[in-house]
Amino acid sequence: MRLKIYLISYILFLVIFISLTPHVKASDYEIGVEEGNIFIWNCHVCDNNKLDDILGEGWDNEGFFEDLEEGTRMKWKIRDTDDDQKIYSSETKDNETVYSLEFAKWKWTTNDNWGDEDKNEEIYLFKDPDDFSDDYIFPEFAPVWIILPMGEYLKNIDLYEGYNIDARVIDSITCVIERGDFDDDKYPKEKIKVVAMYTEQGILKSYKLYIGDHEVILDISLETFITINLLLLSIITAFLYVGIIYFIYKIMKS
Amino acid sequence: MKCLESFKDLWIRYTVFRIAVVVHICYFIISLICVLTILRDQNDFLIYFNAGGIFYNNINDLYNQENYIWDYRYLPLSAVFFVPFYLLGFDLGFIIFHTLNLLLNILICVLLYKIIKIVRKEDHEQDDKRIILYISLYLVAAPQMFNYILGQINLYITFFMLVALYVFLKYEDLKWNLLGSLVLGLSIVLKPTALLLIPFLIVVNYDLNHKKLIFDFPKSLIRIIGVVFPISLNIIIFLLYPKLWDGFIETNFTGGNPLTLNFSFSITKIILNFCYMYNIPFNQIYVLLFVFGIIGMIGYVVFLFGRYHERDSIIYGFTFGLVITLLVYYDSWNHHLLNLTPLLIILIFILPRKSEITNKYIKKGFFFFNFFDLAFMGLWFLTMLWFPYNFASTIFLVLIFYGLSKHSLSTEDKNFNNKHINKVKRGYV
Repeated sequence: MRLKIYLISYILFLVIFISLTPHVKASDYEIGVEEGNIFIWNCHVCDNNKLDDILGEGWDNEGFFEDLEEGTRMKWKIRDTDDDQKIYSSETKDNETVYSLEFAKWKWTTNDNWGDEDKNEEIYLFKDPDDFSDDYIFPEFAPVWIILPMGEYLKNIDLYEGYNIDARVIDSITCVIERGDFDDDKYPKEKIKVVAMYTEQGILKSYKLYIGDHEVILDISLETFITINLLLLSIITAFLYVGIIYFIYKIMKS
Repeated sequence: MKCLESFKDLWIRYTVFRIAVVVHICYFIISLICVLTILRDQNDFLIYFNAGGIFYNNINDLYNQENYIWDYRYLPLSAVFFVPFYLLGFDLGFIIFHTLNLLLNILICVLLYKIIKIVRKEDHEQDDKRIILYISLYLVAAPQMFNYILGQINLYITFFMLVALYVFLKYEDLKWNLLGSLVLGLSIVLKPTALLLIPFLIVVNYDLNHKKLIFDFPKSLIRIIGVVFPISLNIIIFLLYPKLWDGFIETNFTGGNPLTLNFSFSITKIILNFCYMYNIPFNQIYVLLFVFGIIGMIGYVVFLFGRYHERDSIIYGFTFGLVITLLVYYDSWNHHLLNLTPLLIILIFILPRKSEITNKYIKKGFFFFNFFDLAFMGLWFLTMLWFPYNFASTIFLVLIFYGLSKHSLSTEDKNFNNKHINKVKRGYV
């Protein structure tokens, strides 16, 4: 009898719980960066000869890779963001709504003094993922800036089959492009793999382009500043790990 | 009714048990609320739910990862299990799934109690207080909350593994061995965590004292047939839908998934994270095979030459198998520790009460996995930009591996004062 009462109470609890549960819908897409944000990237590895061979000589003519060389840095300062701009889409042959990001750009340089910006640029992402062309490949294989939530947005785009989106731990894109799969079957001259990771703002944090068995020929990462929090965390982490190792040492010795 | 009486009795007699039950129910309710509200679009159950739906509607699309927020990586037959939840709808499906997880935890506790009663050495306290203490610690473990909040299926694996273990320990007959291994096979179908336990099912041991190889062929064969049969049913699915095989291989071994940085504490992943950070060329399969070659080989060799009582050897085998899995596979997460900690509890009761191995390795690892691993996972998120290595649990896993190996190869008499074995010897059972 008591068991019956427990069961009935539990079912009642569940029914009430379901009816009261607010069905929170996934939030709409949003732009994670704000006006005034500054981003600086470092290029650690850039094998220009191999990149010329594999991607063609014009790979660094424009966009994020413009004049890219090993040991250089590039800076963006966000001027404006807009989530309701219209631009022409060659896919739909119509004006479509886009998210846009306008920024001042300091090109890849070895100079420590940034001075005035080299130019202003604007980049776009379609508001409706269906407005991208089929089997879409991003200009730099992975976007420099992406809409949030990244995983949901990218999974709704009809991307080229080699894309793999992982938003489990760190928002990241892995893209494997087979030989001759873009630019009218001309490039790449050999299979490439790109692994890109993003910040919580949707900005490219790390970009690596591999050939063969993960031989890196391009490595770019976002510059991080050592804050007091980071310093404290480093010390705490170091203490914890040293503590564990000491603890193990004591165990083994005893 | 007897169960309720027993529960009431435990509730009255043990404060620690009361606290554990209350804490566990809090985990259950908080995670239920979280998944149905704020984590509605970010949980593992959603993947199982979608996999069930895809299996039901269009099986060829099962490994098309565009259908999931995170990759679906299990064997195709695993998705069959999730079809009923899909048919119930997300809310009701999750509530039933979540309630089943709670029931499984109760059953795991009962099985733990029963197994410990069989294997406990006589130099341990003969009342139930210490068993209840460890079961309570298992119930309040931090990975429990993580497992609930993700809507994971680790408890099914633990449950099936313990059922198999109980059957192997309790019954000698071949038909029971077949049943136990069938149950283990079922757990592998559901999630391949227990895959590396298979070689440990073979009843083989080299007696170093008498220089003699002991090999129980019929029992080994029956066990292997039993465990392989449910897994082999997937071959039928792969043959019927060849596209699934490519998807399965790519998702698990060659795709982008093994590449990205994460907080997995497996040695393989730590090496891959290191290669990623320092641009060292690598092939993830070779790294996996290299680590497996070393850890797996040591584990199997130690097991082969280990000095165990025949009955207990399966427990050591299961523990070796799981520790090897956690150290070798790409993704070893905090909630996977729920598969290992019950085995550690059993080991604590098999080893002598004042065992150095228990105190130095097993207990330390057990408490770390139960309460501290999650904190290191959090720390990883804060330091991953410059130090993406979550190796605290790795250290404790290696310590347990070392402790087990040391104990296995030691010459001390492991048959002594085991109550059950003594009864068997005296013909009481």
